[in-house]
Amino acid sequence: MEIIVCIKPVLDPELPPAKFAVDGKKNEVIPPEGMPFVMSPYDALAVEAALKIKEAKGGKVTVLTLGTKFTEDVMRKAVAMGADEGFILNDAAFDGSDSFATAYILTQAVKKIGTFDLILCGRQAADWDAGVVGSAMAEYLGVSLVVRAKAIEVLDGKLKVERMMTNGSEVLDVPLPALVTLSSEMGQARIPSGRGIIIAARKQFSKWGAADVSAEAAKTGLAAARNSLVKLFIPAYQRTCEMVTGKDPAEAAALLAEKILAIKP
Amino acid sequence: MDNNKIILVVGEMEKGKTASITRELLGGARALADQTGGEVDLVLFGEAAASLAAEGIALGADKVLVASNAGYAEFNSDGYTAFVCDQCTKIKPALCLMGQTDLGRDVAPRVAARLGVALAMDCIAVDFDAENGRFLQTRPAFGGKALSVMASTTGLLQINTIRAKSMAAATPQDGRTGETIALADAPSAGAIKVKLIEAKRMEAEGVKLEDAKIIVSGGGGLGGPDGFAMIKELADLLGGVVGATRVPVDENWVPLSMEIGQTGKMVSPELYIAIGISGAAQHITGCINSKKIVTINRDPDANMFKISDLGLVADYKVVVPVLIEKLKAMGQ
Amino acid sequence: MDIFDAIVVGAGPAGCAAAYTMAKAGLNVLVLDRGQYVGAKNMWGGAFFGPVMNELFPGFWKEAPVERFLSRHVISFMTKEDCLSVDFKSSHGDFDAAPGFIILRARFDRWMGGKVEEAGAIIATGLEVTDFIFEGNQIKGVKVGDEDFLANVVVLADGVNSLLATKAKLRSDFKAIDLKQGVKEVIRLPREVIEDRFGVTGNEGVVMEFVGSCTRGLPGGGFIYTNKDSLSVGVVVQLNALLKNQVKASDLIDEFKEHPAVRPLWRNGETLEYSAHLIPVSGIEMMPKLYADGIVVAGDAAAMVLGTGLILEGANFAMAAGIAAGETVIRAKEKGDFTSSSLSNYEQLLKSRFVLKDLETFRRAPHFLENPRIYNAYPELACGLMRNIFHSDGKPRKNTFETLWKSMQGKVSLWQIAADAMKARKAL
Ligand SMILES: Cc1cc2nc3c(=O)[nH]c(=O)nc-3n(C[C@H](O)[C@H](O)[C@H](O)COP(=O)(O)OP(=O)(O)OC[C@H]3O[C@@H](n4cnc5c(N)ncnc54)[C@H](O)[C@@H]3O)c2cc1C
Ligand SMILES: Cc1cc2nc3c(=O)[nH]c(=O)nc-3n(C[C@H](O)[C@H](O)[C@H](O)COP(=O)(O)OP(=O)(O)OC[C@H]3O[C@@H](n4cnc5c(N)ncnc54)[C@H](O)[C@@H]3O)c2cc1C
Ligand SMILES: Nc1ncnc2c1ncn2[C@@H]1O[C@H](COP(=O)(O)O)[C@@H](O)[C@H]1O
Repeated sequence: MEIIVCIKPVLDPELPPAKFAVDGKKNEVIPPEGMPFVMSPYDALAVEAALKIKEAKGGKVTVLTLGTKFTEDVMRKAVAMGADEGFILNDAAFDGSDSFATAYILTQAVKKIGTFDLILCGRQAADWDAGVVGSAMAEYLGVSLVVRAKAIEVLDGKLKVERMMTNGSEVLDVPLPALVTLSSEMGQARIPSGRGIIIAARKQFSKWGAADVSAEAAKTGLAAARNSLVKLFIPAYQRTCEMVTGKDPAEAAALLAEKILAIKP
Repeated sequence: MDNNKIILVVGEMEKGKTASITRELLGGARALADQTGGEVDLVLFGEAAASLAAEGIALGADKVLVASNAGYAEFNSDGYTAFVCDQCTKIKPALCLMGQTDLGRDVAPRVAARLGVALAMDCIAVDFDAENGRFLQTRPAFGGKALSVMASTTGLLQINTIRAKSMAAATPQDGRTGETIALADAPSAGAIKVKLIEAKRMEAEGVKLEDAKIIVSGGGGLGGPDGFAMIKELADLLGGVVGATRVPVDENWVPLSMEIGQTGKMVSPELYIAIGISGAAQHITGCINSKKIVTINRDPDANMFKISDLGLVADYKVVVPVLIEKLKAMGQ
Repeated sequence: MDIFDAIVVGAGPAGCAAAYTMAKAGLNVLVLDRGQYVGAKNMWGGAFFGPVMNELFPGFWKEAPVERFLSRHVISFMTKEDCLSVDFKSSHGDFDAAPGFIILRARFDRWMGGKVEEAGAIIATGLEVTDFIFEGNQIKGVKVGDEDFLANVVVLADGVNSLLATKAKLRSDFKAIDLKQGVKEVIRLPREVIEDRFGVTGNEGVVMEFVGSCTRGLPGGGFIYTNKDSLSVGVVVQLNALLKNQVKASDLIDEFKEHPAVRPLWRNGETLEYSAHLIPVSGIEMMPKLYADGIVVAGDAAAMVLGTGLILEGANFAMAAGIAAGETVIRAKEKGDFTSSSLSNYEQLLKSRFVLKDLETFRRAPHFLENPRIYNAYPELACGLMRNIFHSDGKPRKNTFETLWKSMQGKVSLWQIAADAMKARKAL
């Protein structure tokens, strides 16, 4: 199986709200000093899923990332986990690309790589939480699509994919080539071994620009964006918390019980 | 908007009834249409849905398009995507609303990609900006740590999926008239690549979290299934339902169906009691619309307190039993 | 798996300096750090002095993420209500002429890590070294869980809590009496606000140190450093004293922040992070064996910190020691001899550099600084005198001086002051 995984560097989504800041003038997030971005957790699951398939059926895992910041870091993480090679898409013309431009550029890169059986993405990037790029790539490539998968199995040249539904799940029969996006229910991504990390540290990644993947300027970058960001801000919660206290926890609890009954519908 | 003023709502069924999200979408769509002076069209899938057409009109639709062919009875991403694309190209709506549901999450991005139009997922508000003649879309980002407001730049169709409970549900008005059109064509066989082998449904027994008036929610702080047994007793006393954060779900203390937050359920009860929950953005985003929030946490700096109305800094193992006794005593 | 010329444990100042020195000389170097990324968990007050850094990375301030340079230094004695300060401001040019720099570790360490990688060393993060691989007495590499990594020499730069130094039998655990506990908050403030409140412009920065009530009279002090658009606020207290008096450093920092003289400085700021860390402060007297067969130890792991005043000088020493360690390994490789006799060269290099010299010179400083009078009696006396000069309460001044003296009875006597002054001259 030739598997391509799309991974995105994002501001650590577990970052406590207190450390999260927004530049109101520039409408952009201010990342905490010195803290590198991480591989979007759902993408790490996509890498994990790819490696599991490779372990079962053999083949090759190639990772792709588009961006400017910390792309090397996430590439190294993927290789440390066990991915075979990776390409970084980076070009001034790509800056400000929206989900569809991103999908277009990644699709062009996939075409340049040429052969593939399966493309894996995260269900959504843990920064803008859109959940669009994978689906759009499937449309552009005209391959079968399953979103929010929790398990993938390769059966005689086809996929058997279990995907999450609000009230349960569905098992689907999926012809190849296909694009599948992974959801958190799939489990945990592996932690790279020390050896893996050292191999990754030595790895070089070729960078592709617009010309390399023959991406039309009109379809990439801010100019091609279908939405403009009017405002980005941190929501203010108009709540003031009344702290219940007492001489001991029991008394406090008793007090809380009364107050709860008071507001109980 | 140089195209016409139609707002297309993609409807869903739930146990044979009009889904609550669809009532909300119709409520929102009607309000917007009244501002733009446009019409609201409702798409429904499957013969069974035909019986809901009349209700759709009562709820604010001017036209109901029913994909009545048996091929649409069960949700199929390929088939539904093709159908919605066809309708959009035919009636050229200015705005297309879907729920942030299994259907919307799956179909909306594909339709937008295929038609080359603007899209914003998981919106909590869509407002008409009259002076610029555009719709403003508000959606959470960064796990709910931030809100973003976006506007389409294409001047073409704009597709939005809407988060549950963010638009006021429409109330049926008898006497409202409208047109129902049955579209009997089968989905073109070629279009359908992915086929359903088996559906594993796990309906949460009793009241659904989304509809609960009172929710007692537990987090990693409960330390295990026993903790949840304890807060279940509290929930029962209050006549509420038990929810959870991601941690207990990952730890398999509770089933996935209990998870509240970005990757779980979006809830908005009258009363939300958070016990042993730190208050990560991805959780808060799922419960912030609760009328009143009460937090019990032994860490005074826990972020959850910042969005609470009532707080108690204590070990839940100590205070919850007392809470239960008290409530019993007070005849709950 | 190949055998590295050297494995460096810890990517702090000591480890980075060592790795950089060796990698530049073409050695095959592996750096292991347990942090998720370089600088992840590292903290310090934030001021350090440039020379060594400049030797390692000439003109580093031009590209390194330096917050500000030292242009103003304030030392304050505080009682619960009062605060008496000595304020020194020197308006020399800019970074290039600066005596010292204010930095934030997370950013700075990451930059240094980048340099180390450019030089050709491999930095592998998220890996905690758990033990050594011994061949007889000769250390042949390290263990990360059940994975082995082989090297001719291990440069141990894993900081104050070094469990490995004990495993390598270089020392026993540091004693509480030899340690200080540092706690620190980084508080975000707009640049303009900082410049207004601290009277600085451009890249100028301020270091403020406080003695007295901020530690409830325990040996130690409080500090405030101005970063670009945040403040580093913290206290450093003798660990033994904390334990003996059952005081929590976290409580002290809260008190310190609320002091009438301190609060206005960070008012309306938003706390971005809180961190705590130990510091070895007994200098040469607590210093372990610095080398053994196949291993040298540098930085905090070897207690190479100078705690003369309140300013803690560790980074410099760590880096200087790192360079020395690196040079030692380079020579050992030339000789092809990695036994302790060959590595003993390390100690000479440290002597020829200022590291051991300074630590020798200030041998007595730590003891002097344990003198409780510095932290309660003198601040009270000093502030008392000032209060006295400013508040005129009608009574003739003389009497009030007397009452002040009476109030100091039992706390300090004239001859004690004289004696302490002598000690100070000797120790500092
Ligand atoms: C992409 C992404 C999506 C996510 N989606 C979701 C989601 O949908 N829903 C969700 O919930 N999370 C989600 N998460 C995880 C989320 O970031 C947090 O990790 C999670 O919400 C933490 O859950 P918690 O507060 O219960 O556990 P913890 O963070 O472990 O907090 C436990 C709390 O309990 C307190 N405590 C401990 N012991 C006691 C005691 N004895 N008495 C009282 N209090 C005690 C502690 O002080 C602490 O505040 C997501 C994360 C990512 C990266
Ligand atoms: C509150 C405070 C204020 C200070 N202020 C100043 C100041 O203003 N100026 C100054 O010069 N100095 C100051 N210092 C002292 C200075 O921070 C230290 O002396 C200096 O950081 C020592 O550098 P190091 O490389 O030896 O150790 P560290 O900087 O502690 O680095 C040790 C590294 O080793 C890693 N590590 C530890 N164990 C393992 C393991 N088992 N496996 C892998 N990796 C491991 C750690 O992750 C860390 O990255 C201050 C210290 C404190 C606590
Ligand atoms: N810049 C990018 N580089 C690589 N993959 C990406 C990028 N952006 C999005 N993806 C992939 O698309 C998925 C969904 O992203 P999004 O639609 O932005 O939520 C992510 O989980 C990634 O797998």
